[in-house]
Amino acid sequence: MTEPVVRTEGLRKVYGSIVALDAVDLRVEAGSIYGLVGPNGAGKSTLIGLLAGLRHPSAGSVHLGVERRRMAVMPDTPRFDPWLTAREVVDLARAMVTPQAPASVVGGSLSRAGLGDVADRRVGGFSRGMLQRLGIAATIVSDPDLLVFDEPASALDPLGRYEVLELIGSLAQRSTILFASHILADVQRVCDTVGVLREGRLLYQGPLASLLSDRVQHAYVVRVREPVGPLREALGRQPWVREATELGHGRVRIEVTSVAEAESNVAAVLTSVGAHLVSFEPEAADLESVFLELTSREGGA
Amino acid sequence: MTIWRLELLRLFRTLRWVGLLASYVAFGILGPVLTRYQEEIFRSVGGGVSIQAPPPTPELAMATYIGNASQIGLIVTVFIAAGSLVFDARPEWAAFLRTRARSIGALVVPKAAVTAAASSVSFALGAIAAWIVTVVLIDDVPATAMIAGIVAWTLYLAFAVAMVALAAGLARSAIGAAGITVVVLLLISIVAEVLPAVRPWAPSTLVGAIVEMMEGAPALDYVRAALVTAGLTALAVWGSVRLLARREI
Repeated sequence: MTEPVVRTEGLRKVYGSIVALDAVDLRVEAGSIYGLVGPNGAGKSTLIGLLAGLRHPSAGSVHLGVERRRMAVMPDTPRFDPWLTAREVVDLARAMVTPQAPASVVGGSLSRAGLGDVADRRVGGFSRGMLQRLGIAATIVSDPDLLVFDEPASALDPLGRYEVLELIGSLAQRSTILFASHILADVQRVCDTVGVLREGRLLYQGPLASLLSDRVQHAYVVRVREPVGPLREALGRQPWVREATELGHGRVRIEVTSVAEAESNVAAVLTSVGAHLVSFEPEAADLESVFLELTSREGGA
Repeated sequence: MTIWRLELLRLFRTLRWVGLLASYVAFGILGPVLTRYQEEIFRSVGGGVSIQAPPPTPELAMATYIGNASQIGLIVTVFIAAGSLVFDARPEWAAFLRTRARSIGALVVPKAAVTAAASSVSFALGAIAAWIVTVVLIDDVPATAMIAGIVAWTLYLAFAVAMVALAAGLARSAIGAAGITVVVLLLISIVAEVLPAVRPWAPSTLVGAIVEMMEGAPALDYVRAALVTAGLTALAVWGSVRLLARREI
């Protein structure tokens, strides 16, 4: 197995009596898009600060598989001198990290971040969303090997969020990405690996698909034309149904003991009560429900 | 765009250069004018009270300029330097700079150098203005004393800016860093005045060098202070880099 791009060992950060991070063993593999999720105050920004060298660990260590200057960090609310233009901000980032790169890459980065039309405007009048886009342009201009984004789309509208997530997804072809967010849908959309942080501790770390499949319940949602009462009662009598619950709007959730039996027999039950089937689909676990289950379980333990 | 250019843009786009030029060049012109016409001025505002002013001399004209430069000009320099050097005042901007710079020194040195250079140029322009107005209104000014005095002041301004850099490693706000610097510069000046043995070595001695050399003091008298000032300037920049490197954002 190759050496990870980011590896921390027993990372701990204490502010006075507050333990911000404790025993964090982070492992970000090369080429992955690692989603670091956690509620506000979980320690995401502290962890990023430690990785970026902006803070010093109280204990433990940080190992980077790339030169620190090949790592680019974008804070959640980028701020720049307001009298600089967007082009100057990105050019400053280019000149500081990769002075050998031609100045023409600046325009390309601004365009990719959706700021091509306002490249020569001073950033003092930029909205928070535009500042986030500018932060992204300044981050990608040096073509880093490791990109660390702290809430990169938190200030963007839905279209802006879609564009930025697409951009981040496309960057993964060349870089390893660590992406901290409390917007779980964003993480689920672009990340292949996830770390769940809560109260400074890493509760889970691994492939997102494994996290979701490990917690998939054998459950289906059946949607029929009203009424649904007879169907729910008929399903509830089946030996392979553990529980049948009405969800409203013609939907019934059935938790089953056997997937095979459910898939073989559900049609017969529908026919027996004369139900008009609209849809039948397995209930998929999403990151949000898994996250809530994971954090509430750990919290209650 | 480099940090050097960034600092030049800061100087011009935020009109800091106007503050520097106004505080030095304006007093460079006003100093000799006030010295030459002080009796007339006193007479017009004195309400009949007779005030005996000393006769106008080039030394007095230059002392008036230096007096204002060492107070108002120096304070303007310190605050402008603090605005540039206390980059940690805005953590997001600090993160931008710190994660991209090759070293903290690569941030501190250009920021300090540009401010010190701009202040020195402003002081020199003010001194030249004072020189010209003095020659026109009062009398000749020895060129050697002027040039050596401007060099001494350049060194002192570099020292003052380096002290701001050091204070930026202690305070996270521009006002805090400027306040620390002003107090330190004042203390150095007081100690040098109270302890005659310290005076030849103190950076503050360079402030009055221009007038004292006009009065006949040899330039060699200021070599010790110049060497100490240069050494302290380098030490302050080094200390600033050490302190800023240890700071958490």
